[in-house]
This record gives sequence, C-alpha cells and structure tokens, in this order.
Amino acid sequence: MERFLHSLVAFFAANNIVPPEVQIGALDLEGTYLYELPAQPNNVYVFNLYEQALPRLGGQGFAVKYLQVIVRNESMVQAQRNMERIFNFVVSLSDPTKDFIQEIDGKFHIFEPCSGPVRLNRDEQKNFIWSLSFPVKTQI
Amino acid sequence: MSSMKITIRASSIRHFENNLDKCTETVKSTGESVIQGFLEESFAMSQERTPVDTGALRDSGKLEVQVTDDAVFGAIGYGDKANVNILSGISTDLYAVDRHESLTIKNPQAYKWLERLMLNRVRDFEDALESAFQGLF
Repeated sequence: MERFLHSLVAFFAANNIVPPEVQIGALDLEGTYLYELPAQPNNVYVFNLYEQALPRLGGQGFAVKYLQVIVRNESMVQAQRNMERIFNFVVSLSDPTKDFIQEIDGKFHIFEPCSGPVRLNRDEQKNFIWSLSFPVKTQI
Repeated sequence: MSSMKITIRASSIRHFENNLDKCTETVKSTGESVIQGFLEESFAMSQERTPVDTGALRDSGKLEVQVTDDAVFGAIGYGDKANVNILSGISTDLYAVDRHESLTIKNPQAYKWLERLMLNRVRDFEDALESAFQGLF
C-alpha cells in the first residue's frame, strides 16, 4: 500500500502537479495528513488509499485502488488552484484518445476519474479544503 | 442442384415479438425487484455505519428507486435541508459530504461510510442479480 502511494506521489511530483518537496510524513501525525510540505504547514496535500478490490472475472493481475487526494490551504484561491491542477491532470491521464495506460514505477496504471472535486468545510484554523476521489486500476 | 423453401408466417413474427416483449418486461421487473431489495438491505447497513452525534445525519438518509422505459435507477443519499442538527442548528445537507469525506481520529469507521459499504457489496449485488436471473428463461 505504502509503495503504491510513494510511487504515485513521486509520479505527481515528477509532472509538477504537486510540489517536489511533498514527502511522506508521520502516519500518526494527524491521522489524515500523510503528506505535507514542512516549510509551508498551511499548504497540505493528502494522498489516502481508502479501498481496494480484486476483479472477479478476468483482468487477473490487476486490482482497483480507490484514492482520495485532499488539498488544504489558507488561501481559498490557492486551494482551488491546487485541486484544479490535480483534477485536470487525472482527467488528462484518462483521455482515451491518448495513451491512457501509465507506467509508474514499472507497473501499469489506468486512472478512471468518475466524479469531480468537492469542497469540504473549513477546518478549525479556517483553512480551505478540497477533496477528489478516483479509482486507479493497478497491475499487481 | 438443391433448393430450399422457407415460409415465414406473419403470426410467427407476432408470436416472437410478443415473447420478446414479455422477456423485456420480465427482465425489467426482476431487475427492479433485485435493485429494490439490494438497496433496502444496503440502506439498513448504511444506517448502522452513519456517524451519530444527534442522529440528524442518520435520520436524513433516504432511498430512491426509479424505473424508466429502459432502465432501473436506485440511489441512497444522506443530507437534507429538512433534517437539522439540533445542537448546531445546521441542516444536514451542509455537512453530510464533509462528514462522509473526512477521516477523523475520533471516528475513523465513519470515513466514507456509504461509499465503502457499497464498494464492498458489489459482489453481493452481482450474486443477487445472477441468482434472480438464473433459470428465468
């Protein structure tokens, strides 16, 4: 699970979708905020793998992993821009007119976004939070 | 040289069309009953998983099944203007999504309670469909 998240975050960072400084943090820090920018504590990215399923028929060797990405920022505009960048990137990865099978860390991945980002309520520090959830078919 | 004569009676075609219509109706009514039963069961399970403070969010849950000419749609939803949290005075439609999407240390089981339940029930749904349609025709 952790390797999948590491590879994915590195892939997003390599494509300038999340800042390159994004790195794994302490898992028990806040429960949810797995990835953060130490220099900018208000500028938080969370990658959370919340479910996975093995296909029942065919497609052996693949699993579907369900991922949630959360962005948090004290600026409303910045939070929205950060989420837009991630959402547009994920949508572009799933474009059937292009090469939609991504090779990440030596394994094939197919991104299948089926819903848009949702704005969550502001946290106690009045930061703005957006969430995006999408499945990724992954070679196992 | 050989030849073959085929006769098609108009009554046979009507008979075939009638059977096809019956078949479509059977598929639709069976599908509707499977979806209705499956969603009722899922709804009861989702009620047990809904985070409860005052109970307003749990009470805002609803189940809907719609049948159109060529499809059956079903949905379970939470959050409603009419269901207000008595402690905060905020209606559940303003925090249902937030509560569903947020992982908290206090109640991690509530994280995506509905989506995770339904994802884990995909096979149950396939089984229910399979057994309902088995031997139908």
